[in-house]
Amino acid sequence: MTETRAETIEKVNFLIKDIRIAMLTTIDRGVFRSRPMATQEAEFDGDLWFFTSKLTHKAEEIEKDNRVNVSFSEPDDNRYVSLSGTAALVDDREKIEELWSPTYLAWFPKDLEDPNIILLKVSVEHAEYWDATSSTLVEAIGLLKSLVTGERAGGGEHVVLNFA
Amino acid sequence: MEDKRQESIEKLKGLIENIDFAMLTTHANGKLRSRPMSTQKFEFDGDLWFFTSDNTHKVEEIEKNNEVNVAYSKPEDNTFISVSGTASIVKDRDKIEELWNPILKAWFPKGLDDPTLALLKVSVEEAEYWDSPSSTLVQIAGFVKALVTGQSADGGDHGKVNF
Repeated sequence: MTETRAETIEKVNFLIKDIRIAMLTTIDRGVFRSRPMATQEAEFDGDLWFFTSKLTHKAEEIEKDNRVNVSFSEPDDNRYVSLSGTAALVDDREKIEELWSPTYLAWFPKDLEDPNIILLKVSVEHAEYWDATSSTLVEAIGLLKSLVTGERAGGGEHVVLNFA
Repeated sequence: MEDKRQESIEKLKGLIENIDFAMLTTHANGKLRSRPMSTQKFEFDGDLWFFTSDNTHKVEEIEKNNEVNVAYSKPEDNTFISVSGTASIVKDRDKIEELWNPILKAWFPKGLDDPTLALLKVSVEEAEYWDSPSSTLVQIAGFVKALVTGQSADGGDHGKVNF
């Protein structure tokens, strides 16, 4: 199965676009930490973008070790996506304004005036997903098999996508 | 100290008990990989247990580096939990039989006769959670604030539980 980078990106975009919160895992002095992050409204083009504050632990953690994982979970339709990549803090006002949406006022009530707003960019290198679009029991069980064993099962699919 | 640990365990137990799948993150050749894992119905006592096959990538990964994270997401309740710890593969037959449940036949059709059947044990060292008890918009907004800034916000509760 050979997919072009564009097809891979389109597939990932389709899988994650309606998931509002993802778990971002970073390495903190050898220990993994995850935290929920509000996802971007923009289409996925190979990079993930999150709004954050310069003052958070994760900003420090990423400066020391930029390897991260972002996992998306949609339990209602058994959809799970793992994206691996490297993270960088991006303090680019134009990009911040481009990605800004009034939705983010909930997090940053000072709006774009907040001097600590910064973007966290994840360059995705590797993606894996588990997806079962049907909710019948047989198919759900098929999916579950793949979840545990890592094998492809009847009802769902486990696919590894490379962004090389 | 022991009471505090027990309190942490009770808190985490309550948070995770109705979440059927968690994302397990491991070190994989310089990358961080996650995969969904079916959570087990058992009394959480400080260790998490998952069934696995002993010939999977994650087993190899854990043998090289046993630091893991288990992330639980329940978007409909705005509940998110991060559990950090160390993983080990346990092939203790008594423990496998104790935790075995016929539902697991969906994954392991040979059941307890499957020679690759193993347990993945995570000894929990630290847990953090974001929890919003109500789904009103104001509280979600408050909660969401905590998500991004890492600060506790009005609508929810960001707790850090040490083991």
